[in-house]
Parts: sequence; structure tokens; C-alpha cells
Amino acid sequence: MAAISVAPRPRTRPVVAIVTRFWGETQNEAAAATRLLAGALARHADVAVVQLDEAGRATYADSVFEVHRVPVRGANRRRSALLRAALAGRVDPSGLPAAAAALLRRYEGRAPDVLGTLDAIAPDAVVLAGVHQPWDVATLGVPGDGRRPRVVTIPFLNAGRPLPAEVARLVAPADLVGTVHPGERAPLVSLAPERAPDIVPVDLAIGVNRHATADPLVGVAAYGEYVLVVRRFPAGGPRLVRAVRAEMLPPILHGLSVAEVDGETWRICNAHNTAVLPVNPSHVNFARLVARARATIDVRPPGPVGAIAIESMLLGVPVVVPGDSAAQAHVAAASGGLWYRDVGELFDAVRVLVSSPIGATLARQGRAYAQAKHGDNDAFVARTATLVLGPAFALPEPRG
Amino acid sequence: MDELSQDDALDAGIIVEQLRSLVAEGRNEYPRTWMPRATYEDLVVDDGREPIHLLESLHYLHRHWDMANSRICKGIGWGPKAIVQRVLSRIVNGAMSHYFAEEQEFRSNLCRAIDAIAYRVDNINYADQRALLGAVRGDLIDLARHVEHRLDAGANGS
Repeated sequence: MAAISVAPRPRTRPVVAIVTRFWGETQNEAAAATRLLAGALARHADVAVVQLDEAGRATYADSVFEVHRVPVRGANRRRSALLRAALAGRVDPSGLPAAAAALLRRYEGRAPDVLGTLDAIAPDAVVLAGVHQPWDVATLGVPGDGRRPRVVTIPFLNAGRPLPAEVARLVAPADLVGTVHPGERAPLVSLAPERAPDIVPVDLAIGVNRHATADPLVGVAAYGEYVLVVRRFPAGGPRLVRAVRAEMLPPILHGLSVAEVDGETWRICNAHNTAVLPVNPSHVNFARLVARARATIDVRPPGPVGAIAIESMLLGVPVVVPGDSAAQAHVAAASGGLWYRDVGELFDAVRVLVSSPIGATLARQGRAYAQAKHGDNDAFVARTATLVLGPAFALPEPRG
Repeated sequence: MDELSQDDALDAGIIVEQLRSLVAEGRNEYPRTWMPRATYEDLVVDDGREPIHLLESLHYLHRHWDMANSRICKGIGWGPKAIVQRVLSRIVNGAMSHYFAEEQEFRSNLCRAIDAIAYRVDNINYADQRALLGAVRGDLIDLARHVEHRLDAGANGS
């Protein structure tokens, strides 16, 4: 990423600014989703990313994106996370003491330079990705204000523990609010009932290796049919220390083997043997492993998008996911798998999927849902352009 | 579950609810295939202490406590040895049936007791963490109130 000087350019295409903390080296679902949105927008617009970061100010090129790194001053992420966790335990988070909310704002830091950066970019549309926006978003105005850029908020409600007031603050200036899973709509509508028509699904397109089913992974053939436990993926992602391990499942699976993806260590076992799979822990290989599984069991800490559940459904494999998560919202909408509150329910769900025809029916339903909602990349690009640039925007031919 | 499997279209929510009700109905029936109880909480995502009910030895215990089938010696084939084994098995089982029944009951209760202890220990563990988090929360809110009062006092003073 080389530092560049930003020269004024002729406005042949609309300009979109994405203001977010989910950019850079961070490996999580929100960052991947933000990049996916930016990539879709880049087909029809020039995309500038305003990256909120504790590091110093910088401007650099990242693929086709012009990234303006804006410092967040005075932030203390550890204290902020601790206070947020403490406040999230309150029965009524909307009734927070003013001082506690002020303390939280202080720990979140301030990024006053965002306004100047947006002025310099002069965007036709601004996307607020993520709730962490420590700058004066009210200066964007409200829908209906004269000549202001179109504003779209994509809050990623399942990333962190956003307080209702923080979300409401970002809904106010937005022309539209985008949801990345079906479960986000209800809390957003309850926060701002009058804005219900403006809350629309984004339906991210999830890319999968369509040929994965034809190309099995090395080392799994000797173990016959298997279910897949995902403890950590991608390798740098989060992991639950005490999640279910592969060895616990063979006794309840009537002879099926169990494959496990745990960061860079991929294994497969049955009641008698365990083997480490000698493969590169890449996304392509992950798709190969998923495509041949009888079921995918997600035991990772729930992410804000539920991408692996969608990917598994796209490959025609039913999923078992944590309840009250983005993945569960997709799976419930699709009826493409089951979900659990605890380890016991996880075992029950897996047993039902592998020992009855229910698994095949759920797999078929999940695939139909995922294909319709998340399987068409061109439709996603068009949808995103219309969402961010507005219905009046006439789609030109994509560049390249 | 069987009747659900016949449907053309399935509602996953109904299946999950039906599973939960089946488990709830069978909660007092023992033996059933053992499952750990609910202690999955977002609160301890980063906690290094593994719940006791996830111990593999506990799973083994629950899978193998019922040895009723092991003491029925069917023998192999119809040779004299197999016939003698079957006869002896019947005699021993008949003579010791009271003891075996007692032992089976004992193992069943032992499993229940260990399950209850594991469940209780896990709950105490989580309660400990919840209490810690609650205390931290209380401290922070007290601190926030203190700061608020000081700010108010400062504003009134000036």
C-alpha cells in the first residue's frame, strides 16, 4: 500500500465515501462484508474509504479504493469493550445514566477529522458502515435536506454490543438503512418505527467455489461420510476455547466421521482414528470440505453476517448454528438448518439432521434460499448501486 | 420427528421447537442418551476454563453406564462350549439377578449424581464470572456518577 497524493479528478462517475472502522488488516466478518460492499460499488462509482483507526493520518491506494485513514483520538478500546460489556448486561440499556454514556463516548475516542476528509472527497453518497462512528454525524443533516449527499447506514448490529442510542444516532441522518441479515430489521424498526419503509435488506453475495463438489479434499475419502465442525475459520478469526470438539460427536453419529476446521489445523476422525488433513487452510479447500459434508456445525463465536452458514447452504449442506445470531436469522428464514442454545441442543440437532430425511429437505430449502438471496453477484452489484446511489441512478455499463 | 420428515416443505423453527419439547418431556426419563446441560453463554467467550460437562470422561461414563447387555452371554454357534456358556450365564444371572439390578440402579444414580455435580460446578463457575462482571459494571457506573457529580459541582462552582 503505497502512499499517494490525491489529485482532483474529473467527475465522470459518482463518488461514494464509506466511513468505517472495518477496514485494513482486521480479519472479521464485518470487514469482509464492508469490502464486499465497496467492491460492488466500485463497479459503478469511485469509492473512497474513510478508515477510522488509532494509527496516524494517511492516504493510500488499496486495490481500486482510495483509503483515507483518519485517526481516532483518545480511544481506549479495552476500557470501551469492558464498559460496553458491563452496560449490555443492564435490563434496560436505553435508560443508561448520562455519565455512563458519556464515559463510553470518551473511551470510544473522537475522530473530528472525518468531516474535513468528507469535505475534500465531496461524495455523492456516504455509507456509514458499523456503529462505531465517533464524529458528528448530525452534520450530515437529515433526509430531505437540500443538497446533501445521500446517506446509507449499514449498522452491523451483531458486531460488538451497540447500544440503542448509538444505533438511533446513525438511523436519523440515513436515507436508507441496510440490514445484512433478516434478524436486524425488528430491532431497527422498534428503534425508529416511522423509518420502517427505509430499512431494506442488503443481501450480500457470497462467493463459493461452484466446482468444489466435484473435487474432494485430499485425505477425507478413507473416512467416508462426515459432518463438519467449524471451530475457527478463517485462520485469524475468533475461536471459543470451550466449544464442542470433533471427538465428542462420533458416538452419536451412527458411524459417520467428523471433520474439524480449527484455524490452520484441519482434522478428521471417527470412533477409532484421527488424522490431520495435510491441506492448505484456504477458502477453496474449505468449500471442498463443506461441499462433501452431511452437515456443517458452526461453533465459532457468532459473527455479524453469518457468511459461513450462507456458504454452506449455497453448497447444499444443512447447517447447525448458534441461536440468537446472524447465522440463525438466515437459517430460520431459509429453513435450511437448525440452531442451538447449548451443547445438548447442538447434539440433538446434529442427530436429527444426519439420521432422518429432514436433513435433505432442509438442505434443499437452504440452497434455494441462498441461491435466490445471495447467489447472484451481478444482482448484488445492481442492488447495492441502487441502494447507495439512489433509485434515480441509471446503471452505466460496468467498467472492465 | 418422523411425521415432520414426510412434509414437502419444512419449517426449521417448528423442528427446533419440537426438539426442545421432546427433550423437555423426556427430561425425567432415565436412561436416555446423555447430553450436557445448557451453560453456553456469550459472557465467557474468552474464558479459558472449560466446562466440566464437556469432559470426554464424563461423556464416556454416560455412554457406558448401562451394562445390561454385557451380562447376557449368547455364546457363538451350537457347539458344546457355547451351550455350556449359555447355561452358566442363565444360572449366574438367575442367582445374581438381585445384585445386578442393584448394581444397575447404583450406576444409574452415580451418573445422575456426577451429572448434577458437573452442572452445579459449571453454574457456580459462571455465576462467579457473572458476579465479577456485575461488580465491574457497578463500579464503572458508580465512577460515572461520581464524575457526573464532580462535573455538576464544577459547573455550579464556576
